[in-house]
Amino acid sequence: MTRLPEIHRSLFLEGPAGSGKSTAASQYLRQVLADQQAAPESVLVLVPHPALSAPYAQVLNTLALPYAPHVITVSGFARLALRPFWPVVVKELGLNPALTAPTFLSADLAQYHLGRILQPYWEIGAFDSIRLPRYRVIGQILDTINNATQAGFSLDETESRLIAAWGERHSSRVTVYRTAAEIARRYQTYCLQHGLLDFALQLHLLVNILVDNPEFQYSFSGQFQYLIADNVEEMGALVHDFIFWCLETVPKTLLICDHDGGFRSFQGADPANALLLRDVCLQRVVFDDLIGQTEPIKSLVAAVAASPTPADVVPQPATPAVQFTSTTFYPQMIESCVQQVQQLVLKQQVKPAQITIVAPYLHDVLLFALQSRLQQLQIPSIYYRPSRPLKGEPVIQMLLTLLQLAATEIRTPAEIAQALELAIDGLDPVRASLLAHAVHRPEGLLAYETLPPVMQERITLPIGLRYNRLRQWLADHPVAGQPPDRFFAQLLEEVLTQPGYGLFENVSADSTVAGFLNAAEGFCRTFAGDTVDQTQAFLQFVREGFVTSDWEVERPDAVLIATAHTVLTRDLASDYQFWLDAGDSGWFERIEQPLTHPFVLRRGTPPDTVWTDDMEDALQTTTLRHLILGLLRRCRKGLFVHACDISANGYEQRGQLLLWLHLAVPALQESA
Amino acid sequence: MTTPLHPLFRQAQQEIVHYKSGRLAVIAVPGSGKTFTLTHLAAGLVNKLSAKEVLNNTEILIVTFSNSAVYTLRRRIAQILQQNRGLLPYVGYRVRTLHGLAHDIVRERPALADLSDDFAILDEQSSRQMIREITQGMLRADQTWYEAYLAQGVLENRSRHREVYEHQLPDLAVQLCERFIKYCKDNRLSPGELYGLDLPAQSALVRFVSRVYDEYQRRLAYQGAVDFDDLILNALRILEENADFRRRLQKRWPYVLEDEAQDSSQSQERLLRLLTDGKNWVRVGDPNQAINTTFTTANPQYLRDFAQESGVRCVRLQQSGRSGRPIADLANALVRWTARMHPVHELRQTFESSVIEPAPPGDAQANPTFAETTVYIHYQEGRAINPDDELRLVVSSLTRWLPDNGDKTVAVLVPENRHGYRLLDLLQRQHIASEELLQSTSSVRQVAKTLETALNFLANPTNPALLSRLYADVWWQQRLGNTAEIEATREETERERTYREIVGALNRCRQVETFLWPAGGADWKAALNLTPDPLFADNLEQFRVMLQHWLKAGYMPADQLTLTLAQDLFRAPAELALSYKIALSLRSAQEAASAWSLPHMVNEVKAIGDNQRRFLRFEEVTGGYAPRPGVVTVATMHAAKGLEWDRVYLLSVNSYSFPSAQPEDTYIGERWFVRAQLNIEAELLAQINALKTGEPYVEGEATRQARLDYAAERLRLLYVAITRARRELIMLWNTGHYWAQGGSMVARPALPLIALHEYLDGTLSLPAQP
Repeated sequence: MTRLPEIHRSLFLEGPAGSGKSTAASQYLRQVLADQQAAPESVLVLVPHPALSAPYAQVLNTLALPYAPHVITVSGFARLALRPFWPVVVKELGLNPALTAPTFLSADLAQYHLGRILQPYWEIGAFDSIRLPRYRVIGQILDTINNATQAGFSLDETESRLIAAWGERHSSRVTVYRTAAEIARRYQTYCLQHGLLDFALQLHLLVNILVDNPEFQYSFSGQFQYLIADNVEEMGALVHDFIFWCLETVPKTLLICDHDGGFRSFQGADPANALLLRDVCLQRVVFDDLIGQTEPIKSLVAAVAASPTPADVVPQPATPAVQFTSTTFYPQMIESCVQQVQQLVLKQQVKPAQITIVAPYLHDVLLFALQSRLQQLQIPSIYYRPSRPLKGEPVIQMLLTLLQLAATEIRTPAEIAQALELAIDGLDPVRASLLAHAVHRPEGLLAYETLPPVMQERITLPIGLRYNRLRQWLADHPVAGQPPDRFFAQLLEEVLTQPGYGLFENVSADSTVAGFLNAAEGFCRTFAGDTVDQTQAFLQFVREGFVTSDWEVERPDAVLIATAHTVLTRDLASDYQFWLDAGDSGWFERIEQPLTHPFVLRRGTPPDTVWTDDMEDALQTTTLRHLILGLLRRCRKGLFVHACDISANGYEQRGQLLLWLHLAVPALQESA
Repeated sequence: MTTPLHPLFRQAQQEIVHYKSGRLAVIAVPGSGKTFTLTHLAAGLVNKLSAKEVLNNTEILIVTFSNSAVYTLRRRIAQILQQNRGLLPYVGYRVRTLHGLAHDIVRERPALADLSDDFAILDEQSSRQMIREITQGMLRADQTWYEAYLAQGVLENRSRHREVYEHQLPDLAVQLCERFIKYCKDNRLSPGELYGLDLPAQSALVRFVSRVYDEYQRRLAYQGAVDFDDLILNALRILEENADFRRRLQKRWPYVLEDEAQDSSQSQERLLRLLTDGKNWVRVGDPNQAINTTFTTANPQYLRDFAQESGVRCVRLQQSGRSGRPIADLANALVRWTARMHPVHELRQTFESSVIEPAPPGDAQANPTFAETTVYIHYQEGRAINPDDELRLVVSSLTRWLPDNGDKTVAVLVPENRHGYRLLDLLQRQHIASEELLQSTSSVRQVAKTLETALNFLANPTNPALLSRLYADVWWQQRLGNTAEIEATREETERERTYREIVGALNRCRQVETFLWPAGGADWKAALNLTPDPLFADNLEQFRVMLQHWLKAGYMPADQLTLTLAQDLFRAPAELALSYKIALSLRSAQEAASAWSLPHMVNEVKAIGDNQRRFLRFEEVTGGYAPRPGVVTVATMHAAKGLEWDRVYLLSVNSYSFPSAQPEDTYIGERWFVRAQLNIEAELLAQINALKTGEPYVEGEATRQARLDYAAERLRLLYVAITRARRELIMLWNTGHYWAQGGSMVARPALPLIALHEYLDGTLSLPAQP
């Protein structure tokens, strides 16, 4: 491992992913804390995503520190800073002094509140001319707000940039941009009036209000002596502004930047702007050797890295380290991938955690098919699919059905059967169906003892008694007047986690339920003092898919299944990668979107830029090249590429990713 | 690398294969080697691409009509090019249907069509389900429009009216809306434009369907989804509004070859015009084989007009080595009779005046000789046979013919699917090997039926009859668990007896839970009152375990549940691929529906099994369809296009399947409960047209025109069917059994059948030239 030189004041460390930059930085952190005996609270480590704090967390775990320094995202840091300095914000912005503390909105809650503002526009068909589902409209307006904030643009400027970029194409889009901007303005006003701070406001208030405040400056400079900012290429320009400010304030700063990055561009990352930081750093170090990679993978990386377009790639010889399998049908592709994983794990003793299966999209059918086949072979697997709506999780459906039953809403026998099956331990699906049909009445659920004796016998007494207890609890706890988070907490504590019920020592459901409860609490907090029917509002919130599984899970020794975007933005390296569905055209997102445009909303883009097809085409080529490089640099020993002629939907597969590989390794033939 | 020209190209074919650039129309008679020539042309153009062009992803674009044609063309071009199959299959060319091409264009820049990256494509069944749901909702609010169209007496007769209102009307309304939406999309009419039309008070029907269309589009938009027709519309819009993107695609596809150009629609014509920019465009087709024009904007006139455009070179492929002379003569006779002697003057324009000529002497594909060729038309004046007898005649004929002709290919072609299914059933009972090219294939039906049986039990897990059926029709039929071992080790009689005992015991098991999850440590065998031998006991235990696994998966979404079942039930790649497709289709239907449960899912899968859904033939993907000697192909006449057999039977050549615009003819699309035999779909579209153009609407005129169009298309279909035969052609007709206004009716022999019969027996003389 390469060590860093002594940092005099500021050092800019750059290089490709996989060259050991974060490892070197984390060792620097160890050195600062252990050797130089800096106080933990004097060190600030900024990362663009919580998952990227892993190398630092590992080092900190090895040090016996009384308390840990902050290893945090900039928005996380903003939340820490905004709590004590909230009165400054209230005064500066002339907010209602009665707002004694801010409420921080998660991404889910931001979507919910924006959705409320959007609703009247939606109902009158203001977005009829674009074909996006409601949640996508909300998502893209929020993306626009976040990108614009990170670039430092006002919403007015954002609106005019988007309109300018659309140019002379059909006219309906301009109206939609105007409406979206109006909603964004109303949303931000609403948030500030109610002290609700989403990601964009958190950043904005930190960088544009607090940083200019002498009290904050005094406090910050008094506390922090060391700053490490990793993956600055994945941060937005506003965060770079904050880092520029830190460079003047903090005595020692280490900035780390990946080459060919910027995978979070839809979240506001501005890799070009990040390079401006290099110019002001006093020292510059470049790491360019990839650590742990085998030669064939290294030379493939080098060939792609040296080529701006597929046509420029210098062909490489075929190598066993890169294998290609082509099948006709989609299920055959999954099967052949599973077989190769099995070979690696069982024959070559590769640890499952050293295998990553990457796909352009992780739709349910693919995930389910892959996981169930791996499970049959007793190969553990996990998947990362951020922002997956929790409404589809059976345990959450069960909780929602019970909430609705307590609210005396009519549910179908099938829904009740499913809920009871999961809620009552030992209740099999057949008896659950029997029980649900027997007790289901429009006015409410019948008690077990009121059923005919034959039915009671079929259902069995132990199940009947458990059912009765649950039924009685629901009857005794009407939801009216109590917030849903309290309802769920009580239901879980008093019934469902008790012996005889479905969540008693049910570890597999723990994280899902915990995340759901967390979301419910956050939701109810934002409604404190509001007259809204919280139960109905919460049900709506969940149904719209806003409650998502975004919390981090530990990575056990299991095969990881993830999208390329997840692998790149969370820096998930492994010895072996499988690229599934390599012929699909969805390996990278198109730049231009119906309601937003990350490139136009970058600081370096001239305000009157008209977005052309040439720009889109060139940027798509660059994006795909970065994606290929990013993935290859996170793959150490072997790459297995899988493609099928006909997609799951029956379409011929012909994406650009295959063209790159075809040209990079033309001798690559089918391995299976 | 250059590909040598095939040494045996005919002269006209040489001219096409040597094409360099510009616009070219190729009019080709059946069997004239159109596909052979086109694939060689494509391969030649691919070979001419420079290395740099290949690196820059330049391709020859080939557009054809059907998925099966895509696979066939692609395979043949690959064979000519002898490309090694590497990472990127099919380098230098791309074969697509119009929908496939539109999909490629939209998928590349979805935002230009106001779509997000992950936009969904609603398949045919999900789209139909959505339209049905909307239509039913709207029908509850607006029940008056249809009364104006009811036949006399229907409204007054309570039971008849009820039958119409409850059963006929909902289906009619859905069909009308489907046709209307498709028509509007083909003609690029948005709901907004329809609202802009000045609708007179009597346009209640137009108002109704317009509201359904509007709501349908709204729901699609809210789901971020498009249907198949939207794909084409959006591709067109993208190309029209984005000149820079259009130029990029024009550069990518410097040559566009269009196969089956007689089926080109208005949208296809427009899209390809935009892509070719008036430059290198080769259109190949035969206007006499245009058989997809009913209720679409497909029209052979586009090809005819193109051939006449200034700057377009036209080559005719008229020599055909496929059929023996008598068969080609019969096809030519049909053209001549229609042009000169058809009783309806308007129909005399049905065919292009082209003649199938024999292949030149020494040709690689020489025509079968006169001696090898026979034509027989089963017609005798005054004698009628019913549909069942017609099928029996064919089966009997095949039973006699097949033993001596195992090296030959044979097909039975039917005008509609149902008759084909019945024939297949008869053939199977007679143990005659058969294959099918009908709307759905037996593999689709088999997979769907198996899934339906399993899902039906999961939706009703306390029902012992369904449990028993699942064991008999799925578990035992699919030879799951240790069934094969039982077959190998137990005598057939013993096996059969125990199997029947088990099926009976499962059927009598009133408390299914005692079999699947016996309480208190009881033995599950006690629930069945059975003590089977150990192998059967193991078999039942495995069955129980599988059911427990499935039932516990019952909470899963439709797609995952289907896959769970499929993984246990199927092994063949095509079956698994089909299960995937069904799973995705169910997911799409689930998302399209406002309410969804397991019983909905059962109904959807049942509809697939009952042939109500069109599904991709996954078997064709690998090889395309090639008739096998000694195996009877049962196909619709439409599906038979592009194929040939040594012997061909044409069934149901009667006045219902091949009407001739005669006053006594009855037409598909005309309903007994609609007054004045109006074709309500045609009338609806005519009303829209009138509103759009400002021309007066005359009731009944559209019905008359629809009949003429349909009769013309059916004449062309007959021409296509006749020209599938190489050596032997047998035509039959039956009386059918059809509902018409005022009761049931029987069909008569089709007029062209009589004319061709008279031509064969010499009682009808036709002019030499069309």
